[in-house]
Amino acid sequence: MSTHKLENYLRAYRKRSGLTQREVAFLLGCENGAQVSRYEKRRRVPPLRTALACEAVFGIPVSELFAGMHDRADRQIGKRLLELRSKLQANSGQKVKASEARLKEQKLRWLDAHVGGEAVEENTKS
Amino acid sequence: MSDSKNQKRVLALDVRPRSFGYALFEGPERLLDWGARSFRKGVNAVRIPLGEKIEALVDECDPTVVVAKEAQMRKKINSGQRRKMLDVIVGKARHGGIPVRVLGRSAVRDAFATSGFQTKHQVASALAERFAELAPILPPKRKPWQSEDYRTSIFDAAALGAAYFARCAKQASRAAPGPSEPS
Repeated sequence: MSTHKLENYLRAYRKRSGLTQREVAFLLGCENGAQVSRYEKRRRVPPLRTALACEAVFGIPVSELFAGMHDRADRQIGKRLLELRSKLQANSGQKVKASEARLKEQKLRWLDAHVGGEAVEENTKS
Repeated sequence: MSDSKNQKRVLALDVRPRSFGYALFEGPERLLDWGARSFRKGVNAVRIPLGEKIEALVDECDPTVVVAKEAQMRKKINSGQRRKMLDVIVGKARHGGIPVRVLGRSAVRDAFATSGFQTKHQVASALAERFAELAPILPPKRKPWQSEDYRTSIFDAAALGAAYFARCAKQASRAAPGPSEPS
């Protein structure tokens, strides 16, 4: 049985490193440890700059540090890719210029490649 | 023990009369969080009661299962209090829709005794070896005249979590015997 990921694993990686919240705050350039506590407890989402700083501090990719958020974004993008593809396919019957048709073909090819990947991932997850 | 499919997030709790230790696992090999919280009474009373602390912890950790230690049935000081605390834990976890598994001391003994670890300190040392992040907080071996270190409850909770995964692995192997196992 697998479980959904936690929103972020900042606390786990910090505790593994043995650093205190205040020390991590110093490394990240935050005001104090309370800010790190808010990130760890998911009360605040860190800005991109801080997220990248976390990656640099712990040496773990942002997608792993914020695994839950990453997975959620991934799922949402998957849904939107399908939606966009169906929208483009619905408009394919209309008469358009050759250049526009080529562009649409290119978009659909790109979407097919991505939606295909997403579908495979979804299947493996389920 | 190393069943890669068994990636449940397990919150193991070791509740004492005035404090509790916790360990959060994600699968048997990944320890995410650990610590001890106090809720003592009297002059130095902690303002936040046990129920609220448990609720906050469960909310933070978002576990799949909560594992707690069984209150001893023998007549002992604090055993009634311990049972009440267990009821609080069960109530708070069930309120959040999280199942609670209560393991006895025998479960922990079964999980570690086969490897030759019998005393609490031996079990704690084995855990500190398995999870290197716990090594810095391993308390020294207790002398007979000393009281138990507060960090022991963290190791007791971790042992409880490890015992839970060991039991799950045993049940899984019993349910689906591999091709190499005798039928």
